[in-house]
Amino acid sequence: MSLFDWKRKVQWFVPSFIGMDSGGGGGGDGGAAAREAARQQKIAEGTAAVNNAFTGFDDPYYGNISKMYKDNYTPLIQEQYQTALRQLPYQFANTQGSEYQRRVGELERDYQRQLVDNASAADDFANQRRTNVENQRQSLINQVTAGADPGSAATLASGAAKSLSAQPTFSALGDLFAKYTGNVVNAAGINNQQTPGGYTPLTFGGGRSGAMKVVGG
Amino acid sequence: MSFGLDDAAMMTAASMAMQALGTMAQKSAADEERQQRMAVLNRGADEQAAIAQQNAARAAQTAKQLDATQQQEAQKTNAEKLATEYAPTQAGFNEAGYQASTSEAPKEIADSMAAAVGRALAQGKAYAKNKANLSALNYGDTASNIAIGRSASDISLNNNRAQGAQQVMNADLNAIYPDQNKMVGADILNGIGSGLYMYGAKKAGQTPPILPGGVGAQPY
Repeated sequence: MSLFDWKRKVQWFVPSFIGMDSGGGGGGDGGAAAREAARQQKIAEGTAAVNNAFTGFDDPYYGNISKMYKDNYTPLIQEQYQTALRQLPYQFANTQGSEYQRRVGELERDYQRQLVDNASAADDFANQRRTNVENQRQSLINQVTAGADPGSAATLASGAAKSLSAQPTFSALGDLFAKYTGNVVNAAGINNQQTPGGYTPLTFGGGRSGAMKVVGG
Repeated sequence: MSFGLDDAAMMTAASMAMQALGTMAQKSAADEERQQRMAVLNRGADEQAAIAQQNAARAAQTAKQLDATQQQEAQKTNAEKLATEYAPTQAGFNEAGYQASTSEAPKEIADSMAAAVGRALAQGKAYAKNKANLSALNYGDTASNIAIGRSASDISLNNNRAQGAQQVMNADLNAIYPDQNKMVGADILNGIGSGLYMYGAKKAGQTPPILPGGVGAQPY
């Protein structure tokens, strides 16, 4: 057998040795990289779908939420204030007394504070809504990261966005100016009673003339 | 072509050459495997470092948003804006209506009433300013919480990518093995070399010494 024959036989067994090229080694890519790239692509698509569904929740949206809150409660506060203002004189013998003036001033002060509180509460309400929306968005992104496919993520996000976009509901307003409207009957009754001798009237400035005038606008 | 050597010496020389070639083939396969592993490890390390850098940049961005000075400025701006928004502009009480309905009252009474309402308005404005400061704090808290939440979410997504990259690296490392052609070739060459050695020793009428690995331990 010639040397050439030997070489040919050996070459069949060890081609890589003769040519020093790699033929039978593991290259290291068993497809994991491709699978991971596909997974990351799905996550990116799912995240984009969620963010896209939430694009409507911007500053003007929250500004409008705050406005809706104010629009709902401000007229109610004004109504209660007007009622209190109408009823207030019935607690006094006349409306020219300093006590009545003081009371009107307090009512006015409380009314202004209620309006301020209402404006502030409207902003808080909008901020709370902002927090809720953000929590929902985060939750959906967590689901995407955990393996939800982009289609499901888009469906879930769309549902969540629709639910969050629903008109807010506002609870009934309590009696804000009860301390100005309470005991109207009693006060009027007391003022109309004959005062015993030496009795200092409940209010001063107008005596017991009973000349009450409804004021306020 | 005997180079002046007898058959036994030729066989020994050929045996050594074969063994050497076998060893070279093994070393070549091992080197290649090592290089492949190093390449995968380096690629993985680069990827992890890049992700860590992105996380650090994202955290730095959030830290900038939450910077105390910036927060204070934002709070001040918000408080001023809200104070204007909240401040009462007019009284609910109608002074003109009161004056008309108490026309017989002395001017002092009407003035006193106007002053009382004016004081109430001033108190309302002061209250609006305080409330605006508190609301601005609330705004700041909400903005900070959202900024932190979004940063955490982005970093979590990145960490998820880092875990995936780690798994890919592990899978790639597990898939790396020595070049089987070279390993088989090396075994064959070593076998032929051992055979030649034995054959040469037998031809020379000598008992071959035991080769490493136990070759030659049995009677030939």
